[in-house]
Amino acid sequence: MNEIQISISHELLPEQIGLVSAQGYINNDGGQAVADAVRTLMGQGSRRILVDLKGTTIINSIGVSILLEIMETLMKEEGRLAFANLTPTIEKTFEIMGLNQFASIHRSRDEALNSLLGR
Amino acid sequence: MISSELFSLAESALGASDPGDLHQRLLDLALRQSGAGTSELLHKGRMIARCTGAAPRECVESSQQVFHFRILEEDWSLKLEGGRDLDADFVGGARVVLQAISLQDALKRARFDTRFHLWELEVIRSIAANIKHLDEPEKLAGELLGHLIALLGVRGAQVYLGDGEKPAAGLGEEILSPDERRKARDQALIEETRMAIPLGSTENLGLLVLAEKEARSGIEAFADQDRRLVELFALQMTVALEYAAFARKSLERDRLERELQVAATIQRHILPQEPPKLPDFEIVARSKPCLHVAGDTFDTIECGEDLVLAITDVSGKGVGAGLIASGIHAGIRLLLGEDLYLSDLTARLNSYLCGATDDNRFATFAMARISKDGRLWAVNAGHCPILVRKRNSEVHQIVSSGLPLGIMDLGGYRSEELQLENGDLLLLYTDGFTEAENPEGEEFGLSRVIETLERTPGGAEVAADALFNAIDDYAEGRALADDATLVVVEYRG
Repeated sequence: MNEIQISISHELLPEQIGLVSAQGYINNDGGQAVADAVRTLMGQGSRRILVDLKGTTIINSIGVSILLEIMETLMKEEGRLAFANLTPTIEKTFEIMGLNQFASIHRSRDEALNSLLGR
Repeated sequence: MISSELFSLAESALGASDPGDLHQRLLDLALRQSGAGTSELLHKGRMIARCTGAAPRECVESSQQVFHFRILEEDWSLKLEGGRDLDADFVGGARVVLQAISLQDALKRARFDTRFHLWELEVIRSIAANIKHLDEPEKLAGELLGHLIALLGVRGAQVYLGDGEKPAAGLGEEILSPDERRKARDQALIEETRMAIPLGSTENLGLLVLAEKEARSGIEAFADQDRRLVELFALQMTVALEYAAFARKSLERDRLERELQVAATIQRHILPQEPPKLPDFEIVARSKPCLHVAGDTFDTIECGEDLVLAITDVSGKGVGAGLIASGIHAGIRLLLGEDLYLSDLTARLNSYLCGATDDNRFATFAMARISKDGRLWAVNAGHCPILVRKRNSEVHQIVSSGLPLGIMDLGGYRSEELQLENGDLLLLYTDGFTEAENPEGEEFGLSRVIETLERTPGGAEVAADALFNAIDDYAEGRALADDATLVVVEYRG
């Protein structure tokens, strides 16, 4: 039985890269928790955010719309958003919902970090 | 100029700016234009933005201006506390700004909805294209349920398979009580915040349960289109589960078929491929099984200068019967080394079989030993009479002297002794001959077996052909109901 609770953490990495790790169901609550973490990191000066979804298997439409809002907020600040460790189903969902148009999608956390650092 | 700022605001609204920010900027312009103390923007009667200016308190309390706008079928209001009256141009400009904001918002929603419908289609496509866990129904159900949770945005979901009381896959706490689940398996449960749809078109394959559809403001009731989506998924799950069950049965059938072929191959190798070539005997042994693995078995063994023959018919058919028959013949070969009387050997086989079969299986058994000089010893344990056709066509019967093997461990089998002469024929056979039926359901019977032997002069080969042809003719092309096996020996000493 899947747990509805999301487990989330965030940290500011060197070069002001913000890292959010989210594991669980990205619904309204889960999406808001991710948005709160992104806001906190932006408050600390980060404009390049990596959201690592390793361990997240389901994201619903409200979760998607919250992620879209996060993306818009970052775009307005001329920031960048990257996602890592998506399941194939979630990656397909992101493509269809347009999340890949302004955010980059990566297989691993390292790949995403390198992309955000321009390496 | 305020008006140029209004146009600039409308232009921004038609871009992709944050509407929250645009609302705030409109209220700020209204404050500056009117000198009011506060300005508020209401959407469908709910305040969504507020701005406070520097107007004196007495001015704020002195008057209130409210402007109502109907934009894209929705009510908007701009409320000012205090200050000068807004002129018609500003109000007209504010309307344009709100229209631009609403249009941009509606466009965004429409884009999201279009993409969402594409998402629905993609899910349906991926279910059809990737039903890859056919041999693991729990995994299959879990995958389908995951898609449904995502599309519907529910906080709780479970799928139960068959009569299972535990969910095969799910999210959150169990939604329905056991009693509610029992009822929902017969009749779908549709409530505002809970839904349960039974799975299976002709039989109960399980239950799909969902609850608490999310909205940005909390939980909302399921809409008709949600119910249709759930029903569509329930149908997809039913098709997938029924197909999975069919595939499993088909695989099981293939596996059994292969096992039968292996068992039949083993049996063929246990039994003699060719009878021994002995100068004093012409031996013919044939079997016509009605299933892959015969319950009938025979053996022809060269034992010193003697010839030993045995035939067995195990009750029942298929692999179990075949294994018992093969076990008996393995026992015969082992016991022959102990130089036992046939009666004792039969008793030993009976003892073994009484302890080895856990059901009601038994085996009729007949065995004969012929020495080089024509002496015949024979024992019959519940089997069809052993027949000896003398040269003068007279047929002698050696009937059963005890129970079939495997029924009771009583022993007491009797061995009969006869002297064969050159040209005499010995026949061991199974009830596939005596019980062969004609289209009217009448059995061929022992008397017809004896008549066939009596009227067919010739050696073992001729007699075997005659007997098989006789039952085929009698059955008029119908398949045999039981295995038919015979061993015929002509003594040529």
